[in-house]
Amino acid sequence: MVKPPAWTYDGIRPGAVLGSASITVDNSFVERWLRLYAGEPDTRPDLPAGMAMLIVMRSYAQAVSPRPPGNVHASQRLTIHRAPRVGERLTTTVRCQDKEMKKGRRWVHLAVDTIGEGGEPCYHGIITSIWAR
Amino acid sequence: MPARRAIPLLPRSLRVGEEQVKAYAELSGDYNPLHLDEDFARGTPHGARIAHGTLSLNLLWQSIAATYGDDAIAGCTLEVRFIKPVYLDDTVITRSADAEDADGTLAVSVENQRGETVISGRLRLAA
Repeated sequence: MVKPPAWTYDGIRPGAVLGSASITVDNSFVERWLRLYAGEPDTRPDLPAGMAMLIVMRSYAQAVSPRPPGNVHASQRLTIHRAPRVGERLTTTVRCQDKEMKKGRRWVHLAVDTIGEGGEPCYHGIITSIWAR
Repeated sequence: MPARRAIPLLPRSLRVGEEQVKAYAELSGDYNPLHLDEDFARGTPHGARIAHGTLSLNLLWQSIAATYGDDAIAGCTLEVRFIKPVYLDDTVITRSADAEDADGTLAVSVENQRGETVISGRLRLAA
């Protein structure tokens, strides 16, 4: 299978959707998260609030792939609208909000929206990265 | 209903070792060689492997959830800048101001074991 080309700065157009990804977070995934962060076992039906950024980043990594090696995250903003349920199918769309060259660096601002089953918003974020090439 | 008042965050800390970086790469699906490949990282301005920025950022969300409770998270906005890289074997800890500012936001941060700020940001609670 031929690998698609990596997303480059020149190939990213402001306003365009770069991709979307759907994931379902099950109990085993939550347990791996809790092991990493030494969290207490959680039997609640909702995902731990601390997992929000991870869900966004995992979805982003799937939706915008491949990315050039060496990208660096510069800043982020995340609003949590509601905590998804364990086992809920979550769909994230990544759109380029803007991009700019500053001091020779390639800045890319991506708007990330995660919705749950039924289209209810869960997360809204802005990820700003310095693109490697 | 009166607006919720911000209170200092309960601190959370994490030692960022090899095991944590690999586990986070698998959880996030982010296999950037900057985090995983020593040879690649040596050729970057960082000079060595660094941890995923969001590995430390998640700790801030953990602090927020521990302080206010998972049920109070809906409507919260956290805005941060990544100030310094976190290198392997660093230990990071979350911090916050004692009270919110006039604009209703709470200054929050993540520091490394040398007291250097690696993430700086502001938390706005739900109205």
